[in-house]
Amino acid sequence: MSVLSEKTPILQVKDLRTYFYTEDGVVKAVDGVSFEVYEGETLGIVGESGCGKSVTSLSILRLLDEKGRIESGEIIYKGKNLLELSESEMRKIRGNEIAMIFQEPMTALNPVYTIGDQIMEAIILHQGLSKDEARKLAIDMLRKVGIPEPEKRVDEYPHELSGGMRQRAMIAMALSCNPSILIADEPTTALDVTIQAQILELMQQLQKEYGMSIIMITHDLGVIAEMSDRVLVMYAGKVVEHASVRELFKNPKHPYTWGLMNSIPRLDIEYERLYAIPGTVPDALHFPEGCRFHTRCEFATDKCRSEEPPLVEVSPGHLSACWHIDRLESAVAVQRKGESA
Amino acid sequence: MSQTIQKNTPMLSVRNLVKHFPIRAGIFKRIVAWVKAVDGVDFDIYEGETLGLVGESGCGKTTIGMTLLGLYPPTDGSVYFNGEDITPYLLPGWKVRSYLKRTYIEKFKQLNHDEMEELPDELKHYAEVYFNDHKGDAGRFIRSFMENRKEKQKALRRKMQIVFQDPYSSLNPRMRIGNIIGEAVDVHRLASSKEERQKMVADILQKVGLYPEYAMRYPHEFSGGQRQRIGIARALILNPKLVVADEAVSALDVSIRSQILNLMEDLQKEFQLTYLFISHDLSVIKHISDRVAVMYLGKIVEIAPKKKLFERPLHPYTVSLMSAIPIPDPEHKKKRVILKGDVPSPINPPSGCRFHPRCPIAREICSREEPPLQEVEEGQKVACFFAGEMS
Ligand SMILES: Nc1ncnc2c1ncn2[C@@H]1O[C@H](COP(=O)(O)OP(=O)(O)OP(=O)(O)O)[C@@H](O)[C@H]1O
Ligand SMILES: Nc1ncnc2c1ncn2[C@@H]1O[C@H](COP(=O)(O)OP(=O)(O)O)[C@@H](O)[C@H]1O
Ligand code: SF4
Ligand code: SF4
Ligand SMILES: [Mg+2]
Ligand SMILES: [Mg+2]
Repeated sequence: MSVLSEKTPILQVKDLRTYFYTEDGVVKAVDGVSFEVYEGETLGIVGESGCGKSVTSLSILRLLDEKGRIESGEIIYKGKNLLELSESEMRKIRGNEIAMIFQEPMTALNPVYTIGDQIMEAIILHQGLSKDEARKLAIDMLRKVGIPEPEKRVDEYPHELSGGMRQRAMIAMALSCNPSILIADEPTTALDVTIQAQILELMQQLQKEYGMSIIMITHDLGVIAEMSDRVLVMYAGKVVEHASVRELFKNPKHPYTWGLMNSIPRLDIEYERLYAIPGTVPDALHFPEGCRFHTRCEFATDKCRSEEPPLVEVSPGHLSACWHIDRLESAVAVQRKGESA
Repeated sequence: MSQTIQKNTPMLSVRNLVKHFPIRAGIFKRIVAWVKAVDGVDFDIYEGETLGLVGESGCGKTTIGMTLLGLYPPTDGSVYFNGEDITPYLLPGWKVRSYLKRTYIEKFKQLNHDEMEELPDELKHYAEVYFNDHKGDAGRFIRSFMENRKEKQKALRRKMQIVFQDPYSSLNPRMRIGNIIGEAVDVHRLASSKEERQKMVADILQKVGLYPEYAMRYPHEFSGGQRQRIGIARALILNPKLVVADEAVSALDVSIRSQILNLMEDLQKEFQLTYLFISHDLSVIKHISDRVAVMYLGKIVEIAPKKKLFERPLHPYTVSLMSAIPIPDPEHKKKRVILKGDVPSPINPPSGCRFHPRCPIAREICSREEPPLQEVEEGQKVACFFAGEMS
């Protein structure tokens, strides 16, 4: 792979705005989100519930329900704006070029069809293989994702599999058409940690083998640290920080990111008392004016309450949307000094 | 003398606790199998401490909590509260006689006088009651447990409270917060007037970080974290001794979770609470617990003071569980044990050591014999023939 091709993103999301028109008002679920995904990398998207992670991924695949509307923006995949494609063109992308796996595999798997039928359906649709060939490929895929006795399991129904096995089956289905991008929305949140470890390892190994890019959506900073190359931190429908994974954890440049990192008890560090970000996640119908984090931010000033901070590059490759990074930096310095003392 | 004994008496002792659920099938709803949700566990909780109970989904954590609170009758085993056997109050009335016979009377009848000293503390106490207070009269002994049964059950319910996982479904949506919290005050007749009840509710709301005015609102008006505070207020208004927190922070966002954990720690100090803190999340368990019990498929596999457990876990399952947790630090490279396979079903748990099909160091004996939970290091009990080998 040349340096140049590494620099061409395979997917570009530009200023995406997705709103829901509900009875209670307009939910600005995603409000001006931009990012790129490069070939073979894993982009992590992290944030608390309701910050717009799932809506972002559903927008990419144009899978929103009737209340949801993409207001503006572009989603450029291999030079084409997905938002301008017809529904039939989009169907060729979905599952074939860009595949998705969900938190709860039962919502994506059809309970009345066998695992094999569901994997084969995608293979036959996108690759034009015969039924026998498709079945063989389905069995191969199940074996590849570590399902024991795949010849037998291929004829089982989703409810006959454990949670971990179902997630494996869904990965098999997603990868059967060799997509360039796999969107994984909280793929391990519903699983036990020992099973989560298996699935994460499987995803890493398959990524090496297939070379696909992964968009890894999670609320778990541990999973982010383990899986991602670059990270997008979202808060209340916006990207607040964007950096390489090492840089993000080493030099967090947004108060929200820093607060999140301090809020998790870690196995390797002993705390007297946990840090807690004050207040609650704002309701999507009433996001605060100015910086949306100002109601919970210890560095907030009047400027934050009235003017929205833009997402700007604050050091090479590191983007943050905050008016007072200097204040954060001195707080981080004090904290680190305390820790090393 | 009695002073020191009291100090060492755990607040709660659980002995060989078993809870099996029947699985029924067919038109006659015949029992076709049993789910061995909890299958013989022993542990103690001391006053003022937090015992963390950790394990993967379905290993029996909730079942233990529900059984201790009398919400599921135990299948077998005993529960002691401050040395007093409360099992008769957890069981339906018609089962008490056979429970007492099996647990005490039959044993005592075969007892020589000099063997009394060797009995475990809980049994010794009841041997004295049986022989001295009731002069070895089984009928009198049994009757003493049946007297004032309702009152005793009610008093017990006051001492032990539970906070549930789901802040959405555990609060009645049609009740105002004030009534959700105040209901227990009415049941236990703790307030002599409407004003006093109102004041009690207002006070506890404030203690959990909410405004007293919230008493007039309904659950749907609150966020997840606020609802969890309401659940905590409801548990604490009766001034309980023991609080079982079952995944109390698991449904919450990270930033809200740490608020609730801090609140629970503050309230523990203020009200001298004892916690049984149930969670599947080892990092939360590590933060909040004094001692930790690790469960696998209905059994405790390791129980130890927190520091010991996290510094040197001795059971292969504990070691694997710890290594499976992703650490939020990309620089942190650790060696990871990835367990093979799924957690087996508690309907047909594996023979011998239940962990043997997934254990990286299992030997021949492991599928044949069940390892007992034994003290390996001071205060650290482990159920493994090769404890410490993977550490
Ligand atoms: N009322 C019931 N009837 C039948 N089986 C039950 C019942 N309650 C629990 N079980 C079974 O008992 C086992 C232990 O369940 P329990 O709810 O105690 O697990 P847990 O450790 O709390 O799991 P989780 O982490 O998922 O909450 C499981 O196999 C469960 O399916
Ligand atoms: N189908 C929908 N109708 C109305 N609102 C929605 C819908 N889907 C999501 N939302 C709202 O959009 C916001 C972002 O949701 P989501 O992307 O699912 O968050 P998360 O980051 O947890 O994945 C939330 O406020 C959510 O309530
Ligand atoms: S812009 Fe202001 S309120 Fe927003 S994160 Fe920065 S300091 Fe806090
Ligand atoms: S007894 Fe055997 S199978 Fe069980 S944990 Fe120990 S080594 Fe592993
Ligand atoms: Mg989501
Ligand atoms: Mg449970």
